[in-house]
Amino acid sequence: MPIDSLTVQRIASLARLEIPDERVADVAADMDRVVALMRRIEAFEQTHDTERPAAPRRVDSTDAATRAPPALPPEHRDETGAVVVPPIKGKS
Amino acid sequence: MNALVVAGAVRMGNRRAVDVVDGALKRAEATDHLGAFTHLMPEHARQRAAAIDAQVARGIDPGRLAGVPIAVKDNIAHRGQPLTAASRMLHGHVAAETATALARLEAEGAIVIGRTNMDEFGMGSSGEHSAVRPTRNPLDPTRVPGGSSSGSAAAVAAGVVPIALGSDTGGSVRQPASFCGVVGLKPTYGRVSRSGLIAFGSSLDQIGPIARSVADVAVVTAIMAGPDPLDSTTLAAPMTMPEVPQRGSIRGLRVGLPRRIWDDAHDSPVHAALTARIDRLAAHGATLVPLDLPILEAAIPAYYLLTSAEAASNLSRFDGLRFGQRAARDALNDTVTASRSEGFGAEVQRRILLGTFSLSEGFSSDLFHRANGVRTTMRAALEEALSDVDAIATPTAPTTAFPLGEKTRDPVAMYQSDIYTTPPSLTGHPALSIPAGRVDGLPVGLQLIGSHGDEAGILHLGMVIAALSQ
Repeated sequence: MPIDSLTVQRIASLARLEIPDERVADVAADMDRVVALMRRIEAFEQTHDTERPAAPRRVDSTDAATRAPPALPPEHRDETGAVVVPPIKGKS
Repeated sequence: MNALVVAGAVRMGNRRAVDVVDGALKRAEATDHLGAFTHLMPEHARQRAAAIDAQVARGIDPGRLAGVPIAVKDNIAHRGQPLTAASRMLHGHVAAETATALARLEAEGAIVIGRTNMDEFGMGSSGEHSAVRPTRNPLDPTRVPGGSSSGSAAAVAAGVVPIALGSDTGGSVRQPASFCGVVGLKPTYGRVSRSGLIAFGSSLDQIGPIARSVADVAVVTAIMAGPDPLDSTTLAAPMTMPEVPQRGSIRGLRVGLPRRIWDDAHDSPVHAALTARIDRLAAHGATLVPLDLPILEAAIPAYYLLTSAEAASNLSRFDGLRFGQRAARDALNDTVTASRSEGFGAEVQRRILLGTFSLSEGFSSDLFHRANGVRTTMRAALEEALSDVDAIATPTAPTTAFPLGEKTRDPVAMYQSDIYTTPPSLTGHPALSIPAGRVDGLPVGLQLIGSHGDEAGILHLGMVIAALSQ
């Protein structure tokens, strides 16, 4: 499926880049051609034996199930949610 | 200008390092139209040269590269000097440390005279993707010098310095060396520390030298090589120096020729020029061994998949907050996005987008992992082939230097320039490009790929071929 302008905008957002509207179509066309070049691997695999490592991949967005645990446990926050820095041991 | 000859004269007190450096700086200014440098360092270089002359006067040996002027690609850190990777993103950034490889050269008496132009962040094959200015080929300024180590190759070819450092991710030392008629080496992955090199594709990046002679390349690589606690991927095994060719050195050498590369393009003028050189090797007693390596055909797609993904990850650190360019906006996210959009050039943005795309969940065909599979298969195939031959020979590039602007609007055509250099980059094998003839007055390069860790073998073969050419 060709890369469309919407895909370019979504990828640019993930990459923290802003593509001006007037350039999006050109960027999509360029990407489409390079991705077609990359996809030659698929044609190559059909005629030659290559390693096929399998690796699971996480989703692009986070939710409660995939989010990493907080760096500091809740007891290090005050009632307003601000982080309370623990006292340094040995200091008064 | 040969580095070892210069160093010998300075060590013996027959030439002053200050005179050598002055000559190099004058030549750099006279060839400024080539755009080889992003920054010259006359004050630093003259101070270093005076210190080396003082050492010689006191009877102290300054080292194997005493007084040799060198140029360094602008993605290799040098403490207190600009470090921009030819990008607006790093405009005004000054290095806090010196790269290990460069520090080792300085410890042997080398003197840095300037920082060389390049394709931004190492992404390009022509020297045109620089935010500073394009680099021009000294042999024909209407043509590109190759890339991404464009300024390093141009500075050596123009006679400014005998040695320049480049970095090679998919051919960025070898291809410009080929286009400019000089020698370039990508060492085995891990041979030279990457500490202080701005990362592009971390699993492929290597610092490599460009010089006029194979002997200079050998000495510089040996000095830079070795374990470094700042780079855990460096090899522990020492690099051996190549044997100097003797009469009869060629007899018994076995050179592998990938059948598809040499047969399919037999009508190309580059191949014709290189075939003449290979035939001369055979006439002097080398054995030519045809090889079936169809896996090499998958190198370009695998390379661009993997390096784009690594580049997207490596370049995420450039957020406008910690380094260089910042486009201030009210919100933090907007500042990051605007800084990156204004700081990165079009080619770098394209690679970041491709890398982000190939790693994204929506790219359901899982090509990134399949490219890694191709890489593993290719490494095994090359290693097996190299168990039967001393080196594999290919053209360095499919063409000679092309006119400026010819491929800038066609990224796929530009990427095809790397068709022969990407396989050893993916597999980590060492690869040397040596000048091996001319087509219409422009140089062509022959690439020699060696076994993992065997720089000495391909350097020896390179010296043999250079001797045959004289």
